[in-house]
Amino acid sequence: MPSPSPIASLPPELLLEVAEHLPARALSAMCRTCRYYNSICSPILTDYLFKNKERILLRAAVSKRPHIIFLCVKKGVTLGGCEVGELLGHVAKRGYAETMRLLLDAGANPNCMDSRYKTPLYHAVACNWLKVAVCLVRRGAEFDDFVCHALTERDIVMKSLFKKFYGYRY
Amino acid sequence: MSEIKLLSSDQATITVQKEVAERSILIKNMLEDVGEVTEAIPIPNVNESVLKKVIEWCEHHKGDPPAQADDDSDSRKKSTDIDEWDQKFMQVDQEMLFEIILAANYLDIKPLLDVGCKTVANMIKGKSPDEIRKTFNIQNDFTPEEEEQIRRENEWAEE
Repeated sequence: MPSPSPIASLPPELLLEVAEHLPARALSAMCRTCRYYNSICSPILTDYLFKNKERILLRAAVSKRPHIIFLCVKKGVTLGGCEVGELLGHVAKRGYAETMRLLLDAGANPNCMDSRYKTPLYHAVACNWLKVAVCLVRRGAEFDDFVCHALTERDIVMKSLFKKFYGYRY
Repeated sequence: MSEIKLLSSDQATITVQKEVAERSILIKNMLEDVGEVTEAIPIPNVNESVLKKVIEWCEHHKGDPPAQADDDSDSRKKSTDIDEWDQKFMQVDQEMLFEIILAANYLDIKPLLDVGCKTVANMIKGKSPDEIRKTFNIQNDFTPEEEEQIRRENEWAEE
């Protein structure tokens, strides 16, 4: 691939040194300048993504951009860190069913708790987000005491749905 | 104070204090290997004007502590802070800037290489792809579709 000039008079290892000093946004801009810089900056950007995946996924989840989560997962991001409980909690509270599905497909544990020891299913039930709750139950979310407590008479629709599809009794 | 001579690629001889020249790990190792030298040490990859500029930097920084062992840490790399003197020193045209970076790499002067790379990084930060192309005379060889696809793939980074 031909190198553009004059910045590319620097050998690739020095361009990498320069790129290592760039924040994600500047790296992304560099990737879009031409094929050569895309080939240099893309791997660094991917490393950045993997190092900061939880923060990036949280931002994407909170701002309701599941396509970003999809792209991250496509790049090979998996979920397993201690921040996952907070991440799923945010998504469950907001009722983002599609985002929840993507996160669970990426390997997030549906039973992981947030800092207040609440599961995503608790938040989904407490906020009356039926689709999110169904998505969680389908992927193995369990009913702990908090979840059962959150189920009130108002949740009769949700309860009957669970009963119909999964045979749960409360 | 002992002095040594350096011979640039364009055959110019520059006399410099040994202590200053030894900011270059390449020269330092060379002097340790061969001992006392009376002949000028050839620096075949660096021309006179660039070599003088590099020596100017080395003279200013001759008393600096040696680079730390953990100099490759993420914190060093992510920072683009440059001290005031170095900022002024790096106010040169792009060609000279890149020549300095190449010379610092060849002569193994890591702190100068770092300053050079940070200077280029600062020229990139905060700019759009189009502005970066203009700054560095880069030819856009993407189709609009390809550029859009890369933009979408990296959207997570655009915050």
